[in-house]
Amino acid sequence: MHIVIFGANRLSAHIASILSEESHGIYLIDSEPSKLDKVSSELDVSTMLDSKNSWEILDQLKEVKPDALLALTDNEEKNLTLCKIAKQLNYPLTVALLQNESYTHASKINFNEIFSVDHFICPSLLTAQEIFKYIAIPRSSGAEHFAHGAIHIHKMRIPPSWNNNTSLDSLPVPEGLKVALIRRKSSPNDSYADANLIFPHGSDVLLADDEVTFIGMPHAIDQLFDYFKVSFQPIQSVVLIGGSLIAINIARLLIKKGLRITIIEKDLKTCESLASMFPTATVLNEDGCNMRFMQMGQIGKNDAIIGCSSHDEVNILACSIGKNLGCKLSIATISESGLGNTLEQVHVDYCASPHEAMTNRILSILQRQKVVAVTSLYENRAKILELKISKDSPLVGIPIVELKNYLPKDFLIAAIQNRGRIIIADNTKVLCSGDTVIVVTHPKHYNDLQRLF
Amino acid sequence: MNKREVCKFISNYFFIFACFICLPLFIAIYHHTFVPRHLHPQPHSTFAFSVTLLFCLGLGFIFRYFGKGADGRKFFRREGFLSLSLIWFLSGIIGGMPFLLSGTLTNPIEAYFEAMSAITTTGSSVMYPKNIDLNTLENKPIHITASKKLNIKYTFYGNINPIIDNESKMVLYAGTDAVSRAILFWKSLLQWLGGMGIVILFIAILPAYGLGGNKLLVQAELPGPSSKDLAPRARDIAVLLWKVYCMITLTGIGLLMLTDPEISLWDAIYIISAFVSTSGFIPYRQSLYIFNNPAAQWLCMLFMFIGSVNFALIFQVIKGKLYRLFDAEFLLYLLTLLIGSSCIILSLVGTEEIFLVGVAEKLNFVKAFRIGLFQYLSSQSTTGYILLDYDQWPHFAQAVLITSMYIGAMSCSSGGGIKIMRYYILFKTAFYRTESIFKPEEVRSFKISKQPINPIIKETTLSFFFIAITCALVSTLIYIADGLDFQTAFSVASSMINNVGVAYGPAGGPTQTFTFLPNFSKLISTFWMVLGRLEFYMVLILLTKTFWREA
Repeated sequence: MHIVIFGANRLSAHIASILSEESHGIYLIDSEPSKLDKVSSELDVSTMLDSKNSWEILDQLKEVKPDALLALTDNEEKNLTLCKIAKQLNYPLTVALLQNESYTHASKINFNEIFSVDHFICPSLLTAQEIFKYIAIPRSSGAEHFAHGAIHIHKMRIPPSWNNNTSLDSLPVPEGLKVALIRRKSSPNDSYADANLIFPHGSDVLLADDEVTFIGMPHAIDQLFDYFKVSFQPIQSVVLIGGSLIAINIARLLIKKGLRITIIEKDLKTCESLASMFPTATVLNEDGCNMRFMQMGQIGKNDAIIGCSSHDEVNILACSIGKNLGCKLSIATISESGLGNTLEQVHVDYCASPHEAMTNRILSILQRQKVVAVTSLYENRAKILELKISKDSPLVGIPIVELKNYLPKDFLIAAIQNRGRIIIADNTKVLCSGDTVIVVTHPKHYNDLQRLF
Repeated sequence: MNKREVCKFISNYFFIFACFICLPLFIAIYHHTFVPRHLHPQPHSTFAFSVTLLFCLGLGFIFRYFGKGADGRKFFRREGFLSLSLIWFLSGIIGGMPFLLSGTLTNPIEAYFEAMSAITTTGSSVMYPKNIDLNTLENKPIHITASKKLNIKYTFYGNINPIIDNESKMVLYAGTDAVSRAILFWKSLLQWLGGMGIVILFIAILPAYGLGGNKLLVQAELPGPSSKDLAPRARDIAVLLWKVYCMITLTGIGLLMLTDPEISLWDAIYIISAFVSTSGFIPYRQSLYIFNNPAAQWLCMLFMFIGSVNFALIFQVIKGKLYRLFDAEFLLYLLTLLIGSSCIILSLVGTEEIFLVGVAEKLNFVKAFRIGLFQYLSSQSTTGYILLDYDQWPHFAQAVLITSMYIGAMSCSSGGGIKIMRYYILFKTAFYRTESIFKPEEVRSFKISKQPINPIIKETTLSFFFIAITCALVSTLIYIADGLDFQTAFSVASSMINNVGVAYGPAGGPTQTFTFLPNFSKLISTFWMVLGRLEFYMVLILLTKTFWREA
């Protein structure tokens, strides 16, 4: 695919690098030559300088038959204009980045039609949704949804008391559940940062302290806690550090869900507008990194702390403080991707990265035909995909147990959706054309898979 | 420095290189088993290629062992630079093995030189017939007078055994004709591969490797300051370039065989691969064919020209975008060709042409036009193929030829030299600088082909020019210290650094050989060749201290 990206900021560079690794041809355009130089020295993409008339570049690029335009500049109006022009020039797909989510969920006016934008992307909303999924869905921390919510994915750490050396084939896990991925430390004292990722097969075993990703039906996921004898208490109160757009979106989602919210923000004016926006929330005008205040305000009594200011370092520090003061869960929004492992060591349980969220969203937009949804785990070391099986896939009609010859080793079929019926894949199941499968794979096989399915 | 990644990368390269060794191996086996002895009396080289293949595979496995566990995720800039240089120098060693093992050349340095000159598309050769006394079979020294006025003489020994008929005691074949066909094919193949760049080929064949390292490697081998974007991804660029290159080569071979149905496929391959890659090594028999065949000369000129034109431009033209030909660099290239060749043609008309047999004849305009254009193109495109003895030409023509070596071809072509584009940037920089002395307050935008040029590119170009000239001077000094006269030394240095492959003195003219160079000069020449081919920076980086510092 040839993809035209406008705007050479950190976000678009990240997206470009991932897309280029997946063999897409990327044309990155910006009006600042210095930004382009930096990008072109680091990434395997083509860069072009934006002249005064952006439409001329869009027109010029028609000659490579682009498949999509991603308007990702920091300027909202420019993004919308670009999309409008691109549609006039017959670009098949247009995506626009919006800082504010106002256009994304207005029901009366069809903004997609007005601006000729096929998909709006709003990083603050996407990040908020990601965080919301992580904390607010009952009994399923670290959850992702596939097959329209019929399949849940759940990450959990096996308790130290676990001592069962039965191989996965004969392990009596709850019905409707599959082990998708195991992250195992090479020795007990190591951190998870350099742990191995195992794509489990029938002969693997679960060990204590493994971090295991389960895929399964919601009710089966619910049974997991009893099965591994882990206690679970839902999160009821959340403190948000920083009153950014992300914070507003999270607060909106959480308040709707009935959670108690505290927002701590340095700027008084922002506090006032937040207070008028969320009358039920407690809004505090303080610095989220002020240790004394955090102790006095008994921030530690809250179940979760979310660092969602626009400064990464504030978020990390606040999470670290909150966790030390007794919060059960700490989440930081980090603009830089790939820091999850490092930040675990300073008590940040989960990193929500707007970059990652947007990249996944864009990937799933671009691969609509075959790939329905994408989630990447552990800094893109593993991916969970929802794939449609095409008519001419060579895999149709062969039992899964015999598919091993066709498929790479670090690959696993987790679930099959056949005419609305969800089946957890086991060795006897057969794939049919038109099915949707949920697979766990190493990202390097991404393109092979699109060919195979 | 992640040594594992470098090892893995190089091992992958060796496996692909081994595939290419199989080609001459098949030819050697074919001539060994199916061709009757009297049709191919040259020594066989099956053994030489088999051992080379095994050696190459062996090296591949050794590097694979040391590169165990590398997955390309830690392959960064530094690893890329090191792998690139290592690949070029190691390819020379492997490429030289068949020459040595088949007994064609007995001096390892000469074998290495021979392979290096092919891969870097310098195209110079150290293969020279032995001067054998037919009665005593003693290898007599060869004397060549470089300058009659100054009375400079070179004495050296030939290195290629002639093929002597046992019964009549007559020399049947001498020089490159007495070399096994597989070896000659190998030399041709190496220069053809080197024309587009061996690592570019490797990237085209292998799936994506490393993170962003690919682009760097492609740019390192593509000569010139700016490679017009053919495709966004380095691998796609590599594939496209090789497709264009293969297409041009095949068209050339086809055309040559069409114009002369009697020419054999082998001869066509030797000739076209030498010109398209702007390398210029052609075995003696095929050289004679070109010399006697004006139609073939025109065809060779055409392909020499195409080989020295920006491949991105050719690709656009093939796609039907003829308006792309109005490209500043291309027009400048045509202009330099026009001025340079007319200088030579005009100075040639009326001078005496000296044939190899010693008969002299005055050159008329038509002939001078063809020969002058050919020789000038051969020199500026850095092909370095010698049509006839220009050592006897007027001094002005000779000076123009050596100047043209420093101008060189277009960027992103298979030619060498400093490149037209760089001169264009240098000229504009100098012009603006000169004007700004008188009018310092004027602000101008620096644009080349409507694209603004980054100050860093200006700086890179300026330092490139400095490095090229310094290297030329230093190498001239080294050659002189090693016993060459000034004219020969300077021309050899220019020839090596610009990957041309011809020079004055014994290296030019009818002898056309570098055999006379002392061993040390041969060895240092291979270094200059790689330096010139990889455009200095890539190799010079390895000589900096910071490159090797771990922290």
